[in-house]
Amino acid sequence: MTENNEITELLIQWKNGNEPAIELLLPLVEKELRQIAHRQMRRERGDHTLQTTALINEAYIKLIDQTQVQWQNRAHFFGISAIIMRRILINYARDRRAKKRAASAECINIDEAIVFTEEKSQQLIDLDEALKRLEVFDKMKSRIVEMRFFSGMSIEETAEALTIAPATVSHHWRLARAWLKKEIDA
Amino acid sequence: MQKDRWQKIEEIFTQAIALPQMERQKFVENICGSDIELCREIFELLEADTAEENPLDEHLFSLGVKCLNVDDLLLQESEFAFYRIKKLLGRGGMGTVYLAEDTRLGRLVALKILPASLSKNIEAVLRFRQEARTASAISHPNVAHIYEISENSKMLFIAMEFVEGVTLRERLRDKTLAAEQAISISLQMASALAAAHEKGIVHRDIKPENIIIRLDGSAKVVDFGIAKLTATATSVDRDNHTNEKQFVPDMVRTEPGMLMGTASYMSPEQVRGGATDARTDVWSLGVVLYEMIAGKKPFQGESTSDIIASILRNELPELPPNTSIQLNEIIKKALKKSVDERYQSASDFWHDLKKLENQVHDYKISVIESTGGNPSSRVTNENPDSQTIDDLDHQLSASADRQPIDINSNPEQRFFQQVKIHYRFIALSIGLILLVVTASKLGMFEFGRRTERSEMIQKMQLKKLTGKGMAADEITAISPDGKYVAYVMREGSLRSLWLKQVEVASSILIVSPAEVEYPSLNFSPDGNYIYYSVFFANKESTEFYQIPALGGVARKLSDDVGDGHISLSPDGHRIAFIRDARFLIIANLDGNQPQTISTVSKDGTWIRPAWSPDGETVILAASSVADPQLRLVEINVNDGSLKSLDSPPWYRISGIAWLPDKSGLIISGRDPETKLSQLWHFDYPIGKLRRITNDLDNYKSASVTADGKNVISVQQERVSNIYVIPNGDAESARKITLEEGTDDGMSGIALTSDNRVVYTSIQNGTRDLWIVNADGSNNRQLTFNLSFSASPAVSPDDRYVAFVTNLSGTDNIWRIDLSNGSLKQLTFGSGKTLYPDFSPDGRSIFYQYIENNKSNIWKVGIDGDNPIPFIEESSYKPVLSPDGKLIACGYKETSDSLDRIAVFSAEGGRPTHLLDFPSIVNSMNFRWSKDGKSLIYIDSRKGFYNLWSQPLSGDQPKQITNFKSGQIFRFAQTRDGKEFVLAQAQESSDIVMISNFN
Repeated sequence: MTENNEITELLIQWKNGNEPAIELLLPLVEKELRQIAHRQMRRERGDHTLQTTALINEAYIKLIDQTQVQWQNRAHFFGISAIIMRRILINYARDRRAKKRAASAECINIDEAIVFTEEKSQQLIDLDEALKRLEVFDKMKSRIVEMRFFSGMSIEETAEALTIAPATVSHHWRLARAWLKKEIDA
Repeated sequence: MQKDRWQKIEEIFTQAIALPQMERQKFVENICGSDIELCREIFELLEADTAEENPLDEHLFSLGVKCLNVDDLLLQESEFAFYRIKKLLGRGGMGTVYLAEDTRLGRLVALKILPASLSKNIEAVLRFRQEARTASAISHPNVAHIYEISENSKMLFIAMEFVEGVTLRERLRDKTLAAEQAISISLQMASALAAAHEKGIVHRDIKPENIIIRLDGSAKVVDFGIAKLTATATSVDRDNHTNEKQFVPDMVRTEPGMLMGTASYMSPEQVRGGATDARTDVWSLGVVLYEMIAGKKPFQGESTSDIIASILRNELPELPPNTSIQLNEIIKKALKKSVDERYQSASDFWHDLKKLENQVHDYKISVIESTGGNPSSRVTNENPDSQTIDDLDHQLSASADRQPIDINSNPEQRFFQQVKIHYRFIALSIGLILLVVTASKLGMFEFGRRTERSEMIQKMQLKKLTGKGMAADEITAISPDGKYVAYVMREGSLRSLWLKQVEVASSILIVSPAEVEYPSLNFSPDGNYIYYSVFFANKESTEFYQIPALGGVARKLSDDVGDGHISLSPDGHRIAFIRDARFLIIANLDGNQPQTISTVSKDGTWIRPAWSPDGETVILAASSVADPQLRLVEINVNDGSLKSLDSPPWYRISGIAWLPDKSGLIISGRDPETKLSQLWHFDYPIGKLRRITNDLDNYKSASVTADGKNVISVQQERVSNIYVIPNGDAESARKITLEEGTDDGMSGIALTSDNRVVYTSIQNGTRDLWIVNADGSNNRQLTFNLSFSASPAVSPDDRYVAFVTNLSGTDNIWRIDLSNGSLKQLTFGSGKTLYPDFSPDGRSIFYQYIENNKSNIWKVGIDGDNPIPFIEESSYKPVLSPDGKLIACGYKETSDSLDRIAVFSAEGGRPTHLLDFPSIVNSMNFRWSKDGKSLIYIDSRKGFYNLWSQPLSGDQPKQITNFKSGQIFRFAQTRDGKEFVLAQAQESSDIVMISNFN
């Protein structure tokens, strides 16, 4: 568990306001997420019902020393996973826009490629930019967007992760959603 | 947005959406009152809220998960302190290691972030930093260098040299090591430890995980000075409630994962928690050596405490029976439980290992001497004790031929196999291979096959036969039996011919240094002679010589062998060469009875014939005016008929060698894509190409052994860096850039008035401009992702750097504002723009412009205004004099006249001087001296690149720098004229042997 102690420590540090700790955490968590995703894809070939919470939960249990942390840390871990998912998607969108990849790009099959058109890529990048602006004056909302939109977590899951009431999440989500729509349409 | 305003918006928005749609507008208008902006904002939000489509309603998660499955799609790179984290390298008890880029220096490092628990104890951290700082002073080829120990956000980190390779642990996982490799690694480690111990640093955690084996077989130890921290931190933590004696078991309990592996390498004094010193490292290295030889750890146990008990109590288990007595003694001495009986220092340990290795070498030399020129003696005596080593070698080969027991003709391995056999017969050692041989003699082939199978499946090996950077020329040959290598050494314009035994460190001089070139080298098929062609600077034709391989007098065979690229017929009686780039000639060895086999048309050229092993055909490289790239052509020796081989085009080919079974060719060639000279396997006759080498070095020449298993080539590495040279004195040159292989300054250097150096570099992948202080500090990137930035010039007021980039599609002049990094394009030509230089008043920039095959000097305003041709005639490379009154440039008055240096008044008009300085014209790289009385340029006379100064008066040029090596590409002079800054490349080349390339 030695290695996991370290991830746990980084997570606690980040939670306690040590911002750079996240930069070290991201590659560690990313690696685990990738491994789990690889496994899931193999296991569930052809079946796209990948469970968000299941995936991140699995990574969480594997990486975090449960004896050392209070249960709230799970929320932070989910937050980190959401940041990773956001970065991965935005990178993908950037990459796609840059390379104008064919619809048969490796990670996407045809029907999903429609979702991820060039226009969509641009939209995602705009959204990311807008989200960065939102972050400055309302961190809570930006994190909810990260979890809901990029990480596909439900209202309930987000609420649990952030230890707030589901109604509060809905409330934040509604305004954030409207504001972001307004921003990217502008 | 202001937070309070956002709160207000949120409040109104929340209230509004609780109302029925109809009432919202009125409500918002009321509540916002005169704040129309607020009102509009909320209306927009309400509208967005009810919009039918909102991209946020999709969930991208499953898409994201799929992206997780794409490995090449990396996270945006993270930043940590001055480092850009690229990827995770590994995790362990001592922290997490990332591959990171030092953004200040642009170099890759292994960045180790220490676990936070270790950083908590301030005292321990201070002690650790002290020791790590000392450790960073260890400069040794087998120690991974520590660059920096620092802290970021209370996280302690170490930036270390990034060593590419596998850990010894990984290597051991695949297979046990041959004794010679084990000894070699141990020698390197002992040497590293000796260097560290001299500085008072004990590693304390020597284990296979901390030893990295690089591709070339060299080993590096990592993590010096780090073990101490874990120990101190943990022990200090527990000082309050436990005693020292409990130290280790306690630590084991705390972090079992970390110590399970490590405990096995701990010395008895270490597990007892006693004082440790250099002898602790000797022990640990002894354990590592034991494990490499025996394939298992000497002291084992189910649990850590069992291991510890074993270390303290158990006798050292016997080594495998084939271990030589000396090696046995050495390991036993390193693993004496009492520190006083052990080797007292790493250097003692090293000495004994070295003695063992040397005996092996000496022995080998004596074998070669005693059997000398009679390699074909056969086994006649059935009594093994009286057989010579060479006989056995043959016997081995013979049985290898009969059976699939591959005895593997990698000379290195064969060498040690022989030694092992030797040991057996002089009752020192019984080698595994011997067992195999014995077994096969007894008919136990299955045993042999199984044992050797794993050895057969091996990865390609690259072995350096010469020491690093001995400046070999681009030609080498290996004897058919793979025992000897002939090569050419270069010193300035002098070249000499050398012979080296593959297994012996030293080389013999065959032909003394002279101002000649050696286009080709060949061994006779029996290996007794070397044939070389030689081109004398003062003669027109290339001559052909024969010399006994083991020394003797050279004999001239022919006066004229065309371009000198000779290929021998398989029987060694005839030669093939190309004359006048058009005629394929075959002649007797002495050049008699020349026969023109085939001729290429006038606009074609042929080079580098290679005679096939069956003698039927000659392959050569052909090009023509229409297709200037090289392609392979096969010519039938009997009827001269010609056949094109299906091969991609080459930029350059520096060697073609047949595999002996005619199944393919080894080509040393530069392909249009990578522009690097690499070794390729060409599958004859289908033409399937496979790259053998795959790195950033160049491999010139190719020569294959008679068994087709080894190829040798010349590996060239060029490293360009920026140097500051005070007063032209090469001895006191200071290197100010660190990066390898980034072409620093090769496309331009310029200085600011306070001597910051602006230079081109590909540190970040694209050729951009960088700036660094003259002491090497504060290196940073100036331009980003501008493709092919070149030729920077700094404005006199230090405000701008003008440079050339093809950002707009064609090469044009741009400027960057040094104060804020803003870019501006100054010229907009559709041709090619080169070499900007500021006028000393800073108002205009002179440059060279090429369009429609015409090149002349132009002038443009500092803001890109008013570009006009300045010189009408063919001219190039303008350089402004320090007072701004004169411009020197390359100049060609009419198309028939020679290139000269012209000096113009900066006002324009006709040239005031026309100077005939061919060396400056050739250099294309010149600047005014600070007094404006001469031109300084790069000259490579006698093969040495140096700065020279040519007075405008026409007096003799004077040499400024005194370099004996390296190639100068660009230079600049400080404004006080005291120092030169050079972009200088050091080229190193070595003979390498590549095995298992199939």
